[in-house]
Amino acid sequence: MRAFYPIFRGLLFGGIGYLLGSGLITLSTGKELTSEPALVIGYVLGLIGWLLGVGLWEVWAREWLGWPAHREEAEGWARYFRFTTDHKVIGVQYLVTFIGVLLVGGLLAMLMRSELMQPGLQLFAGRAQYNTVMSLHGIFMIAVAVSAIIGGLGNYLVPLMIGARDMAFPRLNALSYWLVPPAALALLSTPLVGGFDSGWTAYPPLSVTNAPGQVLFNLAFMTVGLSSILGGLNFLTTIIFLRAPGMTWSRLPIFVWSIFLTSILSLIATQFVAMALLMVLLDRVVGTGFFNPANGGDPLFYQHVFWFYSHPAVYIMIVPAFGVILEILPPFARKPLFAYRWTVGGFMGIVGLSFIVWAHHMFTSGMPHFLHLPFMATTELISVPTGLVFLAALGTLWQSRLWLRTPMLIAMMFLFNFLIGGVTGIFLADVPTDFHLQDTYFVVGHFHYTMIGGMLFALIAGIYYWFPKITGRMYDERLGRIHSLWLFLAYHNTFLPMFWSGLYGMNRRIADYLPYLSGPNMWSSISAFILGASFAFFVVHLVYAWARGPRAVANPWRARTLEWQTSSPPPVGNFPVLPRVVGDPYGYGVPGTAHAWVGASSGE
Amino acid sequence: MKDALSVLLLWLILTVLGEILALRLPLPPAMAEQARVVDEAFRYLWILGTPVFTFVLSILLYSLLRFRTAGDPPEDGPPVFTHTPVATTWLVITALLALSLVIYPGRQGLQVLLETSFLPGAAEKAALIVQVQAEQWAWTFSYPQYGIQVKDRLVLPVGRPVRFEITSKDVIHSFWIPAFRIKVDAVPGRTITLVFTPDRLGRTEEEPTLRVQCAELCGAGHTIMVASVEVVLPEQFEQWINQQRAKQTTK
Repeated sequence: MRAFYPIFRGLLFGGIGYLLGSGLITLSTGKELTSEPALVIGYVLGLIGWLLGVGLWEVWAREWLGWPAHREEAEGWARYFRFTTDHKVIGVQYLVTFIGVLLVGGLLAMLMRSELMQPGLQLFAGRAQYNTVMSLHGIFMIAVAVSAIIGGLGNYLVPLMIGARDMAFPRLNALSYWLVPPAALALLSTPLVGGFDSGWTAYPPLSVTNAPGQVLFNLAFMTVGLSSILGGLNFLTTIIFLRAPGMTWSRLPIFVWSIFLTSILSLIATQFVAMALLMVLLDRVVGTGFFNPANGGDPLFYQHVFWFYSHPAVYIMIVPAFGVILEILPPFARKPLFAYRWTVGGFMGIVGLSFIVWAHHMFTSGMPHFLHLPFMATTELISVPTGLVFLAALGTLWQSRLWLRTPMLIAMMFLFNFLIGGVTGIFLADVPTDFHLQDTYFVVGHFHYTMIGGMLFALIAGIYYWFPKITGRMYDERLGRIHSLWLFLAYHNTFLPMFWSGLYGMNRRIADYLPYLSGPNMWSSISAFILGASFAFFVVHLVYAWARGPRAVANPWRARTLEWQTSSPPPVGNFPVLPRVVGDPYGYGVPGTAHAWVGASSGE
Repeated sequence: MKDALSVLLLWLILTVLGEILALRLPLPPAMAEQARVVDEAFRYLWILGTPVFTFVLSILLYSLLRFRTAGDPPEDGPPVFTHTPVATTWLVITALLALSLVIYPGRQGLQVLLETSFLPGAAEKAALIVQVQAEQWAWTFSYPQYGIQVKDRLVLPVGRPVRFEITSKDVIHSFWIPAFRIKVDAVPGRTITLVFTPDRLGRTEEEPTLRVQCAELCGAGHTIMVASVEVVLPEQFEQWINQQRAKQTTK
């Protein structure tokens, strides 16, 4: 029980903070405890209370008042339930939390697919309820896509891969993580205050006039955004300043490159979405008129600011996924990563272009016509640097000695899925076809191909690949293969029919549809249930392997990057002696070379 | 060399299959002049996208089948770090493809649609004006030239350009008739015009893609924010107008 003490205290302090904040507002304005201003002030004080209670007070805040900070490091599994600064613990905290969020978001998707199985309303009491479930599904999965790879695998692996002992700002790292649970809690409690039915995009005026659940959504999104900004800052500093001797930029593993470049996006772009959400909040609570045409505001203004972040955000989601896949290919192809420098250049091209494509989300928004052509051009052009990622993957596979273990199998599935995601993207980048396809299930199909087929397959491949490193145990190869095939088949059967239904006039975000669309919807729904079950199988398999699987050796894949040159799992501080990097991380097939020299007491 | 030729063959076969699919792909009925521009672009993108898709797929499939080892490979593959001519060719071809798509069907299709649908020039030529007002959760169509107003039912004469003046009373909605292909948002505080020339007769009851569907999430009733559409002969349209007038004066 003692292990949960920090969590209990965090909840207690958070509750006290909320009551204090909302109570003050209630006393001073006479509004009820769940009025919108009370929600805002209550949430802010509640968040501060939660952070102090969960451990920020001892580990950090005492220093601000001139007292010495206490650092009580726990042992064993209790570490995962407290404000711990070891990057590996934080990485696991992120991974497990976001797999939890993924499962909740998945259950919400199952509810949606049950409702959409047949025309008519069956499951939900009203359409507003469906909209809340759909909106919650959206924002949970967006959070998973933004944070699971960067927060989970990134935190765990970046310091290891660059030969550092920890992140540059370990306490900031812990803070970034502990900001996440209250945001999840706030989102889950939106149904208590009427839910929110404006989707994860929260377009005003709807998001200014709907139920108060919207307030909690905005606050939660901004909290996760803050976590993302702090994380980006931390990764940039870590990668710039803590690389081991000899780890030049051209020897940096490709996954580290992907995290480095997306951290620039997280740091710079996230504040724009926070600003947009803040303006919605101000319109609601204070009565400003940023988006109200009657007060001189403009609803389209929101969309520009929102997508100025939210398009780069899709690259925050997918570039680390590219990094994971390109990290997995070389050891299993037993070949160097093909065209490494071109690929890094491709990543840079994606990151740069991602800032000037946002208005392709707005081709049908009524924005001025002269914006169509330039945004179509930049959007089509972003396929060029993305193409370099495929060049790297195919060049690595060509003439390889292909060792088809589960991570490699899923990596190849990723390439196929993302290929479909990319090709269908062309139809959405083209203005004439987008006029028809925008806001239909074609778009739903497309982004589930890039997000599940891309980001989520990469996360799963990465979890299998680094599972022996993180847990010190091996997963079961046969179960891993069964799971990947199950996932692959159910996934394609779920999302492929959506392209058809979208093309034939099924608009998105609806609880019901006309009977002529029932065929593909029934097919999608049944496949979606099978897809959902594959995740239960995945989690049960990995939990079992973590507890009972055979012990893993330090480097089961004979990979060359640094994280494999220390024990599984690595000790606190990662390496007994800091490594010295002497060569290419992907020099497979070159006799007598190594990526790094590691102290004699580590490895094997 | 043998590997390269085999992949080439695989690519050819898959491409032919894909192109057959592209040419035979059934699209939903297009019931306005402007819709054909969209369909033409859709088919063209499929035709051009197919060889790109099958190229990557061929290498992926071939690698999976041909280069797979039985277990842990005893030796490493050839240490090829990069191959500048291959990478350069790849970059040039993908860049040319992307640019060509911007020019056609992108820019060209956009130009046609601007002329026939969006720009004031198109709007002036339009003979019939329909004011569309979206609100939570209904459509109101006004015919100012005839002084009538109808809720949730849109009747249009065939073969005559119609200028829709679209606005919203409350939140953002989106005016979309799938059979006409082009949608545009109804934004409070602005009026956006869009011209369609319906060129086929039909009604929602028989052709469900011929309906007005709100395509932008607008709250609880978004799902049911649908209006039926009927495209009729000019003389039937006159008749319908007279009926509506009679109805509205008796009210």
